[in-house]
Amino acid sequence: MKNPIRKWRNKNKYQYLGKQGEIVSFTKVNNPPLNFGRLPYYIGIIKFPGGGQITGQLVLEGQEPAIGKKAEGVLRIIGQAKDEEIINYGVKFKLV
Amino acid sequence: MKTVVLGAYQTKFGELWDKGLDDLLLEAVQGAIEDAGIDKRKIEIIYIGNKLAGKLLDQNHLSALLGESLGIKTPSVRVEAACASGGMAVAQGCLAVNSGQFQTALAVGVEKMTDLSTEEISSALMTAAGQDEQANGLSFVGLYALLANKYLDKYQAKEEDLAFPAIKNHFHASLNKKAQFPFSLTLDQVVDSPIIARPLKLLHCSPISDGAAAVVLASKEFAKSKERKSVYITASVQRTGSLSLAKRDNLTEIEASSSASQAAYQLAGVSPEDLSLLEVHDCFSIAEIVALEDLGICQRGEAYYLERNGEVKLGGRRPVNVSGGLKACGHPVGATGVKQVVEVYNQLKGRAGERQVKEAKVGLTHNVGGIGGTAVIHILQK
Repeated sequence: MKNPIRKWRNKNKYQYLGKQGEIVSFTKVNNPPLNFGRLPYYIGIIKFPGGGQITGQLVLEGQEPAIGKKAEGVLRIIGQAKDEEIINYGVKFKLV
Repeated sequence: MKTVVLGAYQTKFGELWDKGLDDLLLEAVQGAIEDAGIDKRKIEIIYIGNKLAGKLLDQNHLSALLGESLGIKTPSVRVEAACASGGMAVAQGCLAVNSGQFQTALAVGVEKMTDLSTEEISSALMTAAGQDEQANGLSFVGLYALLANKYLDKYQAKEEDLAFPAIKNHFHASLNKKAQFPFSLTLDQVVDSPIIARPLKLLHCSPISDGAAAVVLASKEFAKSKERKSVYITASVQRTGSLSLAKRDNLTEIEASSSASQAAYQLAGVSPEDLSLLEVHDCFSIAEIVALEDLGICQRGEAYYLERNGEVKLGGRRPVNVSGGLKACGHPVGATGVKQVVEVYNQLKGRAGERQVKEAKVGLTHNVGGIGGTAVIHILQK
């Protein structure tokens, strides 16, 4: 998300920071869209016990993802910003 | 409802370097009008299905572009519903004719995609997905991979099972000169192809394509004057679902497809058992597997058996994607939904050549936008 105003409007997307959920499905992306240069990366759908389900990149740190594993929302840079774009900080999910 | 299909035409699908968007549009429209055997001035309204021309080619306002090329001033509307833009154009044509306001309508779908890089196309296609999905670097193959992974886990299917729709559809395309990939594939070729987004591999994915397709629709009264055996569209139904995959409780069903098909069967007065053939939206091999379940062709978790045992192959009990489907005939996204109707029309007219389904009487088309945000179903009968 390159536009600062659109980014600000989406500030509620940070509600899952620090919350734990369960991986419902995941994939490893080898061929990304534009501006997601660091490959490969994992993306999962995370379901939260209090309700809610969201898509997010997974932070693995050497672990293997699996359906049913727990993951927690953490703040990370997402994608690659060009020189004049804002750096896109968002929520990724770290395996617990 | 009974809308008559008077004529149909599909351009060659593929990497058509010598043809632009306007060339493809004009070829398809002129081909369909010629097939219908009517003067172009008899067309009362035109619907153009297209997703990407504004983003990829800096060309919007396709309604005026077609009028200019064709030399007519017919009312014309561009329709956008992601990869279901073509099916939606046909649905709008049916609505126009069934409303009684128009005696004839033309639905055309067109897309010109191969001038750009895969990454650019992938990003452009993702405008049909949710903001979260786009922001996290998902592509459509990534989205369908999430669905596929869940499906394999839920039904204990194997990754190898994902290969069979692609193998079947390539065999069908080998019988279709207008297909992008008119050649067969082996199981080893599919299984050994590079992984794009686990568990989906390159040969599980439909290609980037150029192409166009068009159909001429008419009221029964108008068609009577043509004095020929008619093919009718007896159901034209569209449903929407959530834009984002993560907003769904059940990741292994496209609910828009299930509900649209149930409504379509009811409208047409047929059941899944009555279908002679289906053209379904196999943008990725898992999409065909899930579609067969959504459309009631089999129970949940059983479709991959049908793919393995040849039941849905030409010559089997209920052939699926005899055109080669999106996988092997090609997927110029705005054209696909119209091409499906063209294929079923040709089958019901008995003019499908080597890939003719014997005694084809009832056919269904299934066109999906995004990861199921839109589904359009048409049932054709003769």
